[in-house]
Formats: sequence, structure tokens, C-alpha cells
Amino acid sequence: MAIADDATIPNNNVLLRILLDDWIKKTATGSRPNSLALFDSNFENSCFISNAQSLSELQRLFPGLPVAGIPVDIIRANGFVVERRPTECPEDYAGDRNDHVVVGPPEPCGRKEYQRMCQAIVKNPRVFMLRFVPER
Amino acid sequence: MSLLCYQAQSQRVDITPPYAIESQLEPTASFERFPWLLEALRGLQRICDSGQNIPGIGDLRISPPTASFVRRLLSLISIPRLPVPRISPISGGGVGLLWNVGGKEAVLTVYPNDERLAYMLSNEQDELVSDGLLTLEQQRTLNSALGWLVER
Repeated sequence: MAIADDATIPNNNVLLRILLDDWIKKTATGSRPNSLALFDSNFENSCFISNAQSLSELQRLFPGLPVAGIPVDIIRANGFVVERRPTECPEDYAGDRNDHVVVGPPEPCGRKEYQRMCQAIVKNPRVFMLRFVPER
Repeated sequence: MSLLCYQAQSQRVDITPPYAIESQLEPTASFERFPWLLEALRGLQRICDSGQNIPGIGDLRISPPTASFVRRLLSLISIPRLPVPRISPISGGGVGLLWNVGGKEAVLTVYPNDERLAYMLSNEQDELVSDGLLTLEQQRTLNSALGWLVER
């Protein structure tokens, strides 16, 4: 499905990509998402716009999981766009469903080009890592 | 029954079994020669068993044909000195194999809707140095790419 960039999402927003522990790479200074973190066989990934409410909801839904914080300008600078997809938001997400977005290339592209874009995004040093508090 | 008669009767019997005979020794030999292989296959089984669709993260279910493709891919790698790859699900039903050796990184990806695998090689400075798409018929190129990881 083609992704249309949503200009109402400013470049200074941060997108939260929920990760698996398998999608983390340890680095000299800590960790970052590894190359697999943004790959998707349909060329689009679920993320959430970061704000106090989404952080609280995601903490509730994904306790203990790592999260990558990706500034929107990095997404766009590497050829991806951001589109709100409230209909694909998890059913039990109790916050604003418009916080759910997908990221990916706006036009069909080859797998090699797609993976290059994904890798360039996760390797950007401004991408940061968080981890939700584990469930008690 | 004379020997001649016995042979004549035997010739009429189809001795081809209806299934392929697989030596039980060959897998053992492969695991001894390629110590990483058994653990890699276990890793694949683990992610196949645990795969689920998680809204907000992605569909991490791996289909039997995709798992079979990855097993065939693993069987084509003929580099004994490789470490055990990290085997992870990729959103959308794919599988990723990731090796880190002395700062170098190799990533192979298998997608359910593509009969090719993709490889990406990064050097010690975390720079992409090579990438491409291969079919399972390109075994030599696959081993050449992964061989770069362990060459001294």
C-alpha cells in the first residue's frame, strides 16, 4: 500500500518504534536498533508519535520492551514518509489512535533500496533507545 | 530356485522406495563440520514456535515455506568458522540472520513474498560496504559474502 506523507506531523516530532530484544545492537556507547528493526516485508512499519499520553499507553501495552526514538526529520531525510493509520492502531490502545503511524517509502521501490533506507535510519546517531519498565 | 531365476524375478521388482532415503550420518557430519548450524536451526525453530501477530509491532508469524527457505539457505553456507547467527523474525513474516564478527556485520533477510535473499555487509566503522539480492542458486556468491566476515 502506498504511504502518503502527512504534513501535519512536524519534523521535530519523535516516533516510537516498539522493538523486540532481538532487534537491538550493542554499541560502544550503549545500544541502537539493529538493521532488522525497521525491515518489513510489506515495506511499512508501525510507529507511534511520542507524547506523554502515547508513552503512558505504550508502557501499559508493552511493558519491559525496548523502544527506539526516531526523530521524524531522520525518517524523511532518508526517503521515508509518515502517514497516520488510526485504523491499524492496536485495539486496546486507549490513547489518541491518530498517534499510530506507518513509515516507509512513498513509492514502490526495490528491496535493496528499501533496506538501505531502513539501515541508514537506525544507524543515525540521533536515534535513541528507551526501555519500558517491566510489569510487576 | 536357481540363481538365474531369482535374478530374473528380482529384475521385475521395483526397488525404488516411494520416498527419498536420507542418510542419518550426513546431518551429524554437517553439525560437526559446521558447529553453528545446529544452534541456528534451533533459533529458527524458536522464532517459528513463538511467532505471533502483535499490533503495534508487526506480524511475526513465520510460514512453513519461509522457514523451509531459511533451512535451505543455512544448508548452503559452507563456512565452518562462522559464529552462530542471531536469527530473528522480521515484521511481515520474514526472517533475519545476523552475524557480528570483530566489528564486521552481515545481515541476510528472507521475505515471505520474495524468492530471493538479501545480504548487507557493514565494516568495522558500521558503514555499508556491500549489499545485493541472491537466489539460492547463487551459493558461491553467498559464501563469498559471508566469507568476508571471517577472512583475516
